[in-house]
Amino acid sequence: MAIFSVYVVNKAGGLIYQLDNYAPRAEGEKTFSYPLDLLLKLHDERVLVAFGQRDGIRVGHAVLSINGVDVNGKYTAEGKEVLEYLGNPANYPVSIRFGRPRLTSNEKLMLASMFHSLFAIGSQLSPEQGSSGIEMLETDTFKLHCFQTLTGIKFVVLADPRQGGIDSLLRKIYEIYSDFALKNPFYSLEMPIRCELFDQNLKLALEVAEKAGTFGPGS
Amino acid sequence: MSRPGNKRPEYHKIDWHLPAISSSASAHSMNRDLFVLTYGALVAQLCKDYEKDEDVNNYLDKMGYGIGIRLIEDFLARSYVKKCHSYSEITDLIAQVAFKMYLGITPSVTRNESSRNEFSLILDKNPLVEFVEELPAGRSSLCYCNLLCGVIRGALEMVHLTADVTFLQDRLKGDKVTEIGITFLKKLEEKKYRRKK
Repeated sequence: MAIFSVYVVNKAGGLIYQLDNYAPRAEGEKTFSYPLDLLLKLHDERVLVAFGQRDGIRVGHAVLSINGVDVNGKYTAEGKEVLEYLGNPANYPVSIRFGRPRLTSNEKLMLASMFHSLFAIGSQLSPEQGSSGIEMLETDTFKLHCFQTLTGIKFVVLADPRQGGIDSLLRKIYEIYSDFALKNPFYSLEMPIRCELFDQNLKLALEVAEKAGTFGPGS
Repeated sequence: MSRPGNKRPEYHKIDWHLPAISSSASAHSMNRDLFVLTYGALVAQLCKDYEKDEDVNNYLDKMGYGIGIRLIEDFLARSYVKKCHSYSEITDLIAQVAFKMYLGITPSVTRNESSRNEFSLILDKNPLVEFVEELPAGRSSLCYCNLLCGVIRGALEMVHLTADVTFLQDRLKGDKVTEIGITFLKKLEEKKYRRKK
């Protein structure tokens, strides 16, 4: 669980492969009665919790499903607006599931190209010639490691800050890419990778890296 | 807290438990004859399909190009080479590392004195022509190993270098040695911001 995701970005900045490796935290479904003691707001086509954190429901969590039926952005499955629905006391008691909103694939594409641009800016900002570009981005909850090959492909791994051995994992992913994606004669270069063998071997490599690399507590 | 300047390769080896199919090319033990025969069958079929020698040479080069653009990643992934800063470094790398890794031979590198960007690889032994005595009559301008030229050209292009790669001499055509000439053309620069002084 210590390696969260893998992104592969091609030369033009487009995302050609993405894998999420984290198990979602248990999102409980809870029953609520009117009035709702959480403050909800609409943000980016999603209904998020703005205030009123309690019981595992945190600020920033999105409404995932109402009464067992998944919501569609800011609308319920029937097409009614979620905020309107939850504002009507006649619909209560209602059971809502909250959780961390997942990134849609469009958002991932956008983030990957943004990272590609930042990477290019990073290598130009360097006071020394021939900079390698962004190798690591560190935050308190994760570390982003990036490896750019001499041909321009970037392999990006998001992992736990205590996870070690990511450098060799990035090299291993490069080998797996050259083996199972490139050597597949029906795979065209720079296109999204849809090779079963690549998936399988990548997941195996992630498992091995997780076991071998974590040195911190709680591994 | 500063990170070390140069990344040193990690010395504690991790056993990746991956199937043998992904071992490096130099550790492959495949019957070499099979490979040589497959290549021969390929060239023979192309000769049947196309009358003109130039056509066959072109197609071999194109196929080689398709192989080269993929093989380069395999080469870079397994050989841990650093970025090269001169054409002679690159040619040395091709001769001593790449050829060794994929064909098991080490051609020698000579450099054309008159120009900065022309180099030749002299192949002493060529495993691809092990079973070929001479070119058939009527095929005197066939470059049997033109696939190799395409491979080198494709591989260089993926690391942003354009080059002209041809056979300058060929033992099969009666010359004394087999020589591959690499002429580096304009470097394809990635868009770099240049401050005008």
